[in-house]
Amino acid sequence: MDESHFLQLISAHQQIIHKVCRLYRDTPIDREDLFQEIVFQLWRSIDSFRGQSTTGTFIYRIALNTAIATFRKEGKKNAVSYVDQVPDLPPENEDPAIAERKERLIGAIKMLEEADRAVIALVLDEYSYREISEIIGITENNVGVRVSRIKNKIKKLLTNHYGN
Amino acid sequence: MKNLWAGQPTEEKQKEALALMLTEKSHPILKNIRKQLLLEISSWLVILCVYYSMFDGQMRPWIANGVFIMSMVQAIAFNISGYLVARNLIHGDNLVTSLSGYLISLKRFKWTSLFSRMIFMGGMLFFFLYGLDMDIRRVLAVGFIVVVSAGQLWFLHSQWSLKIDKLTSLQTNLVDTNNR
Repeated sequence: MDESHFLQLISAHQQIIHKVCRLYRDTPIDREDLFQEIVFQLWRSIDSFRGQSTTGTFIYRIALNTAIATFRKEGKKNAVSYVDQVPDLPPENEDPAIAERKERLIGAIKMLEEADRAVIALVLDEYSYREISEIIGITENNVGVRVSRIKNKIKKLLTNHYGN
Repeated sequence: MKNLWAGQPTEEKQKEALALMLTEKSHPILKNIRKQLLLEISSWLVILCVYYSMFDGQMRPWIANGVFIMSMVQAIAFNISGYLVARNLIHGDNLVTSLSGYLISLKRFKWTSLFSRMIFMGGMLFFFLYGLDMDIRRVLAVGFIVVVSAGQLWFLHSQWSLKIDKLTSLQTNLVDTNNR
């Protein structure tokens, strides 16, 4: 694949990379670094993409792999609560209540184990259990069990922190 | 939940900015590794060029000179291989397989790193101590150097083990349905 075709592809699917960066890094600088790393790894891996899966599946796989495998400065696990983190600015015309709910959801997902974050991100982006099993490398049955457990965890986290 | 997830605020990147990310030159992590690599390799090359006259290489036998040069060259080769490991994060068609492959290469790299450091330290000691009369003060000094070097090796080992253990537990977590 040539560079301009690749850039077109990444440009069209960059939301995926942004979402993965938000889930796996806390500060804007770390997210920017991870974004670059993911684009670089995608460029290196693009020749292995032969269209057996969708482009989104391929990008998600490389993005999650890169986010998980790269080392970063260790903080204390869950030591900084999501309510303490500076949220990204919502669009100007967005209802503040909805913007806050979005932040709460992201915050709750970020409190999950890294492996669970990957699964729930794929579920929320409406990938099928089969696609998720192919990206992660586990059985569809395993995906189903995990998803229901993760959803319960998120509900508990939201209830414990916000009571809704 | 899906609606809230779909509407996450993101900053759109232009193609020009994306194009810059394809080169190793602008890579945030590799750029720093490359700088450090260049600095270390150039210092070692300078030492290799001047050691013969500066450290009395001409007064030592060929075996001591050979060990000195080999210790330096293997350290340079090891640094380059470290750069290549940092570049290659993707090792398979799914997350579990890829992490397994990456873990294998990290474990191999950890042991190579420890052996390379030992060879380097051993080589330096061999070169500088070759033919020296060992009185008690020298023996104590060498003992001190060995203890400090062993401490460094232990630190290096524990740093690598921490990283590897973290990834191993993440990989186990991905496969295990029964966790918490």
